[in-house]
Amino acid sequence: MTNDERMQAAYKKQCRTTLIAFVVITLMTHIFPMYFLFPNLNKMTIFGFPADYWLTIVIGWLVLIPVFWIYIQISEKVDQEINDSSSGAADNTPGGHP
Amino acid sequence: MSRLLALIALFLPALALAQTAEPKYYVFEPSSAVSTLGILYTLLMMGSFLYVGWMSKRRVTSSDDYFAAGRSFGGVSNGLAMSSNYMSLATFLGFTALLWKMQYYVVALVLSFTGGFVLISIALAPALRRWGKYTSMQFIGERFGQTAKVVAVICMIFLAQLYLIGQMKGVGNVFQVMFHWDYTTGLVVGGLVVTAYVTIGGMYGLSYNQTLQAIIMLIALYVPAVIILLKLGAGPASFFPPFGYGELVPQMNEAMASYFNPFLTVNGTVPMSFKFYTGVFFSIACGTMGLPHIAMRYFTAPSIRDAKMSTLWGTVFVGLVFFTTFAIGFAAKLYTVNELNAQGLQIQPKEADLLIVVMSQALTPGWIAAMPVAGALAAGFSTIAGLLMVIGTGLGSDIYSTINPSAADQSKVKMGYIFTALGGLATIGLALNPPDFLLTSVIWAFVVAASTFTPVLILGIWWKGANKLGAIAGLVVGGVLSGILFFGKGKMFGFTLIDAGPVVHLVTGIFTMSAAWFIIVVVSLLTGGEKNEKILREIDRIHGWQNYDPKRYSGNTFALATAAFALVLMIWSAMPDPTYAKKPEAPAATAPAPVPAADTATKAATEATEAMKTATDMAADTATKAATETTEAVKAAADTAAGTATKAVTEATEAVKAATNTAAAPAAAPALVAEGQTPPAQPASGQQ
Repeated sequence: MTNDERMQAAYKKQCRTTLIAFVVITLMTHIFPMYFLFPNLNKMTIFGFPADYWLTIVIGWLVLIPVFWIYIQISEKVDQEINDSSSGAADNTPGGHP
Repeated sequence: MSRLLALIALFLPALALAQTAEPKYYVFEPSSAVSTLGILYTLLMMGSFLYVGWMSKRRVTSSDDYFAAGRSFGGVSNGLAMSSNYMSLATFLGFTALLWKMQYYVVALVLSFTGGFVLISIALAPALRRWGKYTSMQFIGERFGQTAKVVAVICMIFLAQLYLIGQMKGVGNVFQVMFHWDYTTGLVVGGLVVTAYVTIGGMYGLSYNQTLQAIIMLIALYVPAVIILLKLGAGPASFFPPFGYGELVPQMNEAMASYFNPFLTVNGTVPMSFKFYTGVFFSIACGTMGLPHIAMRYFTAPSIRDAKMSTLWGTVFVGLVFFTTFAIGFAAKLYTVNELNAQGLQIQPKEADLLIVVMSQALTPGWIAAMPVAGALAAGFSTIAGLLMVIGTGLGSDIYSTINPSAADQSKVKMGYIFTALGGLATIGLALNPPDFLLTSVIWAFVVAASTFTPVLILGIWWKGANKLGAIAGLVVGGVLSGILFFGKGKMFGFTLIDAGPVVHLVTGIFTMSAAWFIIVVVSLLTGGEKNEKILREIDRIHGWQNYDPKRYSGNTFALATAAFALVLMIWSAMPDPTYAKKPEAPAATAPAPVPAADTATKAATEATEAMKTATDMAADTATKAATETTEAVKAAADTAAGTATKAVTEATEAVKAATNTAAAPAAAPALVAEGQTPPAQPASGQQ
């Protein structure tokens, strides 16, 4: 793999990781479509709570923490790839470095 | 007026059955132990804050120290500081009151707060931190030019003041109610203390104090919550309050069936729609992303990784406080329904703000009951301090360096001192006579942040095509539209643009943020996009690149696709919500009330009478404000009455259906409600 390809791959990875993380975190903290898709969740209970209430808080907070930690690890790796592939690389312009 | 008369006519039979006794309201009076210990805790706390601020002054030798705490604040301590910066007096006291009134809807709001907090560190914070300045406004200035920076600073000052006046007023009110101090004295003392320690210690003083305040808040909330839940019979789970009240849920379901219903809000009288929940994301989560004082904490971290880890810790602490507040809110609702309502007492909205203290005083020893007072003030101080710091930095660094580009570092620090102090004094002055719209001003701040800063920051970081004209147009359109629609409750120049029911403020966020986004993309594309290579190179650098490639972050497809989506959202948000579509007056006025519903109808009528009486009193008190406000009050009473009436009729219909064992599908509840709002058939028996 050439350095240009490595940079291109790192670029795509950064955009993809950010977009996916954004969407996943947004859905986890806004799981209201679940209420409309599965209205019966309100009738079930988990640890004494209505299932939708319990799931909302658990997914939006307790599950969010490890998911965010995983994102941090992945994004650090991507940042490292970006740094490694681009350090010392010439600018991708007709004149190279200005 | 004719609608009101129709309602009165409807209630006449029920009124005849109802008791006409004056409603009794619960009046909170702090015990001497709570008051004395509260003063003691508060004085100790304020002394500590001033001491920490004074000690921090020694570390301030440059503008980096004053405005960004020397970029040395990471990990757990920054996480604690982030969480206390985010959680305000409104969080500490207001969530309990909101739960008491809105129930499940607050869960959506709070989760959205948490989500926004994390989304900043994914989409914005790493790039802003790499840019290496102190505020979002500086980024906007360097990315889009000085005019955009000035517009951004104006937006920031307005947002900060909306936030600050509410917090300052809250501090004054806590002193007034808890310690019987005059409101002005409490406001001036509290305001001066916080202004002094922020001005003296700069970002260092602010950061250390916010860390300390987060610890105080956690203790002040956790200890009373555990005891309250234990006393109410929640068992061993009480020791983890966020999930400690499962055993009490059946009691709540019996006392108030709508508490855990995600499709109803406002005491079970208002149906929730998908659009309402969508509005939560655009107003609250996206608003959080744009708040300058939240983004500012990322600039204090030594590295990108530290900034992200701080967010992770912040999420832990924010969740602990938010969901412990839920536990207390739950307990307060249960206590209100089972104890106070049973004694014939009702809670007024102003007392609802103090429910956490009410509960603590009723169920915990005095030395613990005084803790929430200290916790609430710590929460208020931390947010006020964060906002004052952003004002000081915005004017002392951003604007001053624009006016005087060759200013020495020390003179920027001096300007920081001056403008932070002036910001504090101005806010105290404004809070002496706070405006009427305070209750919704914080939500408005979120909507404006979502409609101004958020689209400009996201597009400025992730799309090289965004340019100066697009950013300025987006900031102006987003700011002006959100202002007009918020204050006009969805109306613009007399025309109803957003018609989405009682939480219209949040739904306007969908429209205004989408409009700002759409405008930035369209104007930028029409004006040729960003051409300045220096800026384009900077965009690569803030994403971690060591070299430059003009093709990166420059795809117009992404921008056009999001703009098209924004346009769809604008249209959707402007369309009437079917849940609230106006319906013709229903024949239910003549429907006989079945026997099982008689009690409920009587209760509904009593509540309606009380609501109308309250509205009349309000109108009388504010006679000088004349017809407009009076009409609003009567309309509110009519809405409340109508909601209750519909509920009663719905319950009646349910009862008849059950009795006759009909296999027919549930009939729609009679549309008698003002505004044509028809709650689904869902009984709610709790009183407030």
